[in-house]
Amino acid sequence: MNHRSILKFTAGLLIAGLSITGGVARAATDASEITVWETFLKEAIFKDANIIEDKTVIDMNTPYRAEDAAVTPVTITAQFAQTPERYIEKLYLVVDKNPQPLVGEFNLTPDMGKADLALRVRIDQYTFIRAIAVLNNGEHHMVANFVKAQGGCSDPPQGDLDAAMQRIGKMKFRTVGELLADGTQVGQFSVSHPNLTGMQVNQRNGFTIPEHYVKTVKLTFDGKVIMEAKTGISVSADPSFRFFFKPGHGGKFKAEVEDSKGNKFAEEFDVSQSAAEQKT
Amino acid sequence: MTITTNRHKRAPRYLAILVASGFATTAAYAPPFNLTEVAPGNFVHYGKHVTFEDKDHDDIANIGFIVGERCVAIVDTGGSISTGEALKAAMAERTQVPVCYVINTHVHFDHLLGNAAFTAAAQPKFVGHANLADAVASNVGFFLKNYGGNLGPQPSAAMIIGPDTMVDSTLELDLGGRKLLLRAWPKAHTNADLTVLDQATGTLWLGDLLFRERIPSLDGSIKGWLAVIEELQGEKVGAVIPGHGPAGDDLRVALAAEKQYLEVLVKDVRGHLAAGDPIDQAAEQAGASEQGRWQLWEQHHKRNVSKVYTELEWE
Repeated sequence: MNHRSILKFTAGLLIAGLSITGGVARAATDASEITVWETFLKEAIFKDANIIEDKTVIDMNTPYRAEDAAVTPVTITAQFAQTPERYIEKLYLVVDKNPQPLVGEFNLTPDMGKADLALRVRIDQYTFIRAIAVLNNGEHHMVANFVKAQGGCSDPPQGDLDAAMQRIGKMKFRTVGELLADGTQVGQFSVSHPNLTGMQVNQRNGFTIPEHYVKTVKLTFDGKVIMEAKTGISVSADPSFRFFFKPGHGGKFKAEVEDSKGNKFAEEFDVSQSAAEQKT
Repeated sequence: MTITTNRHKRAPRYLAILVASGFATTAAYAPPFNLTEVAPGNFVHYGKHVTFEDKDHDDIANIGFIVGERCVAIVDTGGSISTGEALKAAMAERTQVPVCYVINTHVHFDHLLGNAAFTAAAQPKFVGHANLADAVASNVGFFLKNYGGNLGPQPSAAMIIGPDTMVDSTLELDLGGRKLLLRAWPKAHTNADLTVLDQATGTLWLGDLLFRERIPSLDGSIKGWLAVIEELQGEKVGAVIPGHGPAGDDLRVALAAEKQYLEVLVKDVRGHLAAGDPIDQAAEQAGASEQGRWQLWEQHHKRNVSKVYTELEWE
């Protein structure tokens, strides 16, 4: 089953499940949240994988109460460095009660140095949010946080949609902070895209705006893949990712993005040696 | 121009004096249903500064009415039908003329869910910004889910009343011996902000374009809001009635604190963006110098920062 069909499949299951059980969506108790995960999502995404819930591989920071449900910051922190011997090869991010629960799958590499990842997501209602790390030895480790937020998937597009469409595909990349002792540095990549959920209403005519979202993001540095992501509508508008990479003596950072309408965007950024070693 | 009906002459002027001399807070917040004649014929019920989770969350906005010789215009109706009913009852003690207009200054629940209290009797016109009908339509689900109880024991979409009369730029309403000038603004606090000027007394009802004491909440555009403030503060008006907090008598002075808060947000968030700080760090730190100046800071501040951050990120 490819990624796309998993997304559709899990959403379908979730909706079916909610209608069968009647009040799951309204009863925002911990118990019902766990039911959604245990009953539908875990198997739909991970089949029979043994998922260990602990913090030995990753931890995750989310606000307990998300102030802006359309833009909820999520920071996943790896507990150890990426080495060719032992590394996190994949992160999944799941928001149990979102219409499309699978936020994204992120393929990571030892070339990141450290598998931290920060991004912003939409939260549709009080829910658990889960990060699942898959190690190169096949182990699955999960952390889960409860987040109080609602309405993020139907929030009208931020700002003026016409203006957002004008700058669609525009990209930014920068390094943040200084080069660390282990040779890693924080990189921040953003792509301007309204990431329309298909649930937002055009305020002018009352019609639903069709979905239009970033589907894949591939980030490489000096020809080596840092991160390759498949994403969906649960990622906030203007997707933005923070991660580690190893700038070394500088090189070319390349970003390739494809959206759900088949639009492809690519841009290269120079990471100079001085920029990589300079304190910012 | 002054108002000359007997009814207005009988209005309790001492309340206006109390407002002017700074007793507004204590005088206005006394139960059961406070009502202050801020200017002749302009009656305000002051909302409470409590959270959306508080039992009194349906009574947090300033609402009121303007009395003409022929009829009355309601300006905002409160966050529940019962609040709207209480306003209607308070109005009935002041005037016998019917309600001909129910004006909503924007789409937020605390200003609009009381509309249904005014549908039955005189069948007034419901008036709002040209964007208000769509804004109401797209919020019906949200209102029913989160504030259904405010519509009574059996809430329904039919109890959420949007406008039937829309204002594109300006609209004059005649109450008989008193004309109101309604003005629709570009996206600022929300995308459907409307002000009401009572031309007889120069009283300006600003809705949530003006917050005082209670922290402003941003649902539109920070740059748009600051531009509207810039334009508003040059206007020559009399009393000013905010959407939250006490009335004032000097528009520029009344706008100053809000303007400063919004300007600090822009400055601080631009600083965080320039430094490459993530949105959660900006939410923790931006605007901190303003914290002591506003009530219910936790209710909106971080969300405001988030909105500003995403608005300015791609400017």
